[in-house]
Amino acid sequence: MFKKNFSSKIIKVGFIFVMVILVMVWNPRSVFDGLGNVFFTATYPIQKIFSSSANKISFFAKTISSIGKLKSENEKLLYENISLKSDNAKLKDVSKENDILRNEIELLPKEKFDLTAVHIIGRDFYENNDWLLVDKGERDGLRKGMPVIVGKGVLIGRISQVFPYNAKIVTITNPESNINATTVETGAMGIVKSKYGLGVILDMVLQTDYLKVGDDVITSEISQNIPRGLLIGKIKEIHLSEDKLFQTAIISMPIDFSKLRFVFVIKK
Amino acid sequence: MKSFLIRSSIIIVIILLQINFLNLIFPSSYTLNVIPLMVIAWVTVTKFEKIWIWILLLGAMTDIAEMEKFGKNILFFVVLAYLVSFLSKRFLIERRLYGTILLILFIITISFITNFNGILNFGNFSLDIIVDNIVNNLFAWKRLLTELVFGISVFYLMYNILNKIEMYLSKYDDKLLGNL
Repeated sequence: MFKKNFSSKIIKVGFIFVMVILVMVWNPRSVFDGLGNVFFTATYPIQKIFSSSANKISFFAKTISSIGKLKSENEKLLYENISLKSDNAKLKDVSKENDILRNEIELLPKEKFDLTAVHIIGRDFYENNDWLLVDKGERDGLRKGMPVIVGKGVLIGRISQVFPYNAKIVTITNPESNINATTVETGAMGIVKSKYGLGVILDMVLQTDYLKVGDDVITSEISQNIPRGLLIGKIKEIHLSEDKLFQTAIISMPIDFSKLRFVFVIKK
Repeated sequence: MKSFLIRSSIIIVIILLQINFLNLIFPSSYTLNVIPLMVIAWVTVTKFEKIWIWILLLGAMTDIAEMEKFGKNILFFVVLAYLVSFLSKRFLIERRLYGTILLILFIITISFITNFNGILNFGNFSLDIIVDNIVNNLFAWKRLLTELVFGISVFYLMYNILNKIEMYLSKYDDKLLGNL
């Protein structure tokens, strides 16, 4: 009896294994994208309920945990306010110079981006921040390939799939992501990609290019659909590639993806 | 029909709960993946033979919702369900203490595997990933302990809910058969 039961289970598991591996090899992306479209469109109202409840709970928990820190944070903010006032005065002067420089290198001012604010309503299963699900889609004018930023110009990824009410953003930490980038000070060119889902690196930098720790890495004009000048991060460490042909730099990113609530899609 | 609707709803709700609720509440380093825990609870509550098709559907729906390589979650869940069913026959029923220890071990393993960045990314599998992840995850005691506490609590809750649902469904099925 046990033997019969055992072998029938093994046959079932074996059958599933073979079938799934065949489907994985075949990989009919369009069929699964269509199914994903139906799934996300049909469940959109439930998604909204879950995500808004999650945001409320998260906000409440943050408020409770921050009560004790309020006094020390207030003192810190007062100090920061004074230093920001002095920085502001300096920045006004720098801003003028910046405009002239931007005109010279034909960089688009950040204010001229046609931005759409989107609310993050879902994240990937395995905690890698590989993708985000947002509450706007095709109906709001979002299209595949559009870059996604936070603040005034920190790149976090681009739209990989669009559904009527949702869109999926593939972040720069996703192994599928490849973005052409350059360093601000030294002008070294390379490709920003994920390092096994643990962070991002600037790869394929020629030996003749100079890399500097602390230099900012920004998007270059070669990237398709991505405007030049969006910040990706700062160079933390520099290494030689395994084949010793290229240089590789580990990038420290200025944002924690797990804390993001809103992001902006650059439509134009 | 009723059991189809109830089980399909469970699958959809658990997937949406993971993507749109838990992943937004918990910070990235402490996110709990409840879907593999549900697979364990489901197989423990009922028989593998009765539930395997639903585990397969759960895997397929998770793959569709994840929108990446189709099939990896199906393989992961079906193998997990088979292992739980195989081991539970030997430990869970006869020896309560061993059964509890085994369940805790399963939950720890699941937490570890789902934290193991990239292990389920077939395209990027390499020795570097394994070394990086062991260094980053194996010795992160605080994280493992937190996930274990969350994991056991969630598992207990899901076990009870699924147990009640499955009991209701089997009673309903018996009643239908009786009427026939």
